[in-house]
Amino acid sequence: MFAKLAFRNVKRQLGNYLIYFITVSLTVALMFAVNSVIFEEELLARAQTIDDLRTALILITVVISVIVAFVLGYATSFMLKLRKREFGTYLTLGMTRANIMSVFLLESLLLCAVSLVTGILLGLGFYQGLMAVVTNVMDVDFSFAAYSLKGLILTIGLVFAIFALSSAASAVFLKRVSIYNLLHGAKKTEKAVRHPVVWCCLAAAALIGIIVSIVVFGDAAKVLIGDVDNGRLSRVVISLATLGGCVIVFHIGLSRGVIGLLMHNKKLKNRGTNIFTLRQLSGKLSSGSILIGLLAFLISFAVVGANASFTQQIGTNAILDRDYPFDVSSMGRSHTELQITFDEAEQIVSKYSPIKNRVDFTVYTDGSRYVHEFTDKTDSGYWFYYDVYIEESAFNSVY
Amino acid sequence: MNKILEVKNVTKYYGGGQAITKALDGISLDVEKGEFVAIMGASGSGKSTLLNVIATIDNVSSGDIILDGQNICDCSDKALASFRRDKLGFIFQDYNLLDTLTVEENIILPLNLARVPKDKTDALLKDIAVKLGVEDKLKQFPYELSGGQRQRASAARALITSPSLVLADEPTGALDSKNSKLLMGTFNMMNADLGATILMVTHDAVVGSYASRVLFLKDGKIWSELVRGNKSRQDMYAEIISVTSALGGDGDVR
Repeated sequence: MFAKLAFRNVKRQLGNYLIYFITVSLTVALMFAVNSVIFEEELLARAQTIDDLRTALILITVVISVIVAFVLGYATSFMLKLRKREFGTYLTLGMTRANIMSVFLLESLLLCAVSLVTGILLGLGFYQGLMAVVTNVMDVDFSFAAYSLKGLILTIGLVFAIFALSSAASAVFLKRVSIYNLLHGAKKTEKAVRHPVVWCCLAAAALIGIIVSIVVFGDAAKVLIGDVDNGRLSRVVISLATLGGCVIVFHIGLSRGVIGLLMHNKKLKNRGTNIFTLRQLSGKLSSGSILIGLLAFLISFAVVGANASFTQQIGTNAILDRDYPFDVSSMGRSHTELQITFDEAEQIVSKYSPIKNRVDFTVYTDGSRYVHEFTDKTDSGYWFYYDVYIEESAFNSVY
Repeated sequence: MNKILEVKNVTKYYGGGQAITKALDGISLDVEKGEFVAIMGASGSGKSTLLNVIATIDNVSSGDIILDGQNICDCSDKALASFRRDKLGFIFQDYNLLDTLTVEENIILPLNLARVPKDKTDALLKDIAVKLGVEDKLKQFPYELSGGQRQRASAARALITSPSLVLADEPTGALDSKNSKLLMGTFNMMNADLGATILMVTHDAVVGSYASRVLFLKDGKIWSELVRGNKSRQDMYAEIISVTSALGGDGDVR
């Protein structure tokens, strides 16, 4: 009987469920596409910085999972609130809270399963598109990417874990809420915004915080990418945390403060149909301000995350080019390791890369360490014990 | 006559901090089996709160409510669910029929929850549907019915388990005067022919005049009581109007 009730409810509530079905399906599709890229062995084998790429993709999956969790959690709580009266009626008819939870769980499971199937079907296409973008960034040839079972399992696992979490939250709500609140809760209107001026000031302060943290982050990230320096890492983390907090506060403050101030302006409020429009806006914004703040946070960090992962890849390549300018380099300590002849060295090099040309030059030293003291390798125990020189003509022939 | 309901010194507070409202102020009352009691009073007098605490959909702050020999203030959540299913029938102002179920499914839902066998369910459904005049509406959905038909379907759902007490919260609130009178005729039939004990909250003096006893609430206390006895409905109506005038000329009474 409960299964029948759940199925009928989903059928009747299709209009309400549709927007969430579409949102959850799209985010699941994106999650499946990214998860599939994580397990794309051929791509990863060719990737120059496999670990970095994998880490970046896992981070993106985590961000998408948070978004799915939020969307699903919000959808569940929205549906619960929308149907308070219905659940109250169930309770007056003698259903237990456990009975109602099983009906609601069945409904959510149905929505989740259908969204998962649709999302994965959409994700099959998204994945090929994402692979085209990633391979283009990495300069790898791309025709068609094979699908991965691991990616599929990870997606299904994550979606069901999120579903279990949101169901647990619903169970807590249904266990605690009184029947009176269920039956009469729908009649409650939104609370009026208090202290709109304070909220506006908070929004302005948060805007300044956003600008400052972006400047600090940009500065710290530039140094971090150009030169790995742990001292700057804390500045990056602190500026990102500040940015996150300010983005949330700015959106909450703006949605509460501005509409509160507009409602206080009697001349504007009483003109034409303004009172109706403002009241509608006020209701939506005051009840959805936290949601708006969190969504802004998620979108900002999805953008920051995606940009940071690509910037990190470019930065890593730049560092590699600067520190290792040659196709093949060999370093050794001549006084502790066995010396090899130039012919032997040439044989080793030719194993990794064909030798087109050979230039011999002489390296000089006067035994001083004057220039060495100005390099950033000064304290790193690098192998240059003395300043070394080569002739300009030799330098020109090497480069 | 035996007591179905005993309300003993019940107090109910709402709110918290500095905004505390005393909705019920030490109310005590009894309802005998087979009685049809109406509770009347101005808005904010506490009549809906009284019905809610008896219906177990809200808690009392202090006092006891004994229904069919059981103190419902001491029951667990699970016991209260069975209690509502077996002992209480609800009729709400806006029907509270489930839109996703047909009229038949709505009416038999309490029996399904109590796991009553199908043969018995069918027999009970047929009987109550004929008595309440909804036998030709059983396959329809609630949104296909008029207000009066919906409220009769709601009454059928409330009565199908033969509850000890039927609680009606402004049952005619969403109906026009013609349908209100028809529904009150149905309530009288439920009371006289089916032996249902009814406790009804209403603003409407005409609706109240159908009851065998009317309790008037003011500021969370029972202020007055009228018993119909052998009086005609018209006489009862005139007395209700007179009491409500004495109460302070309640503007809500129609």
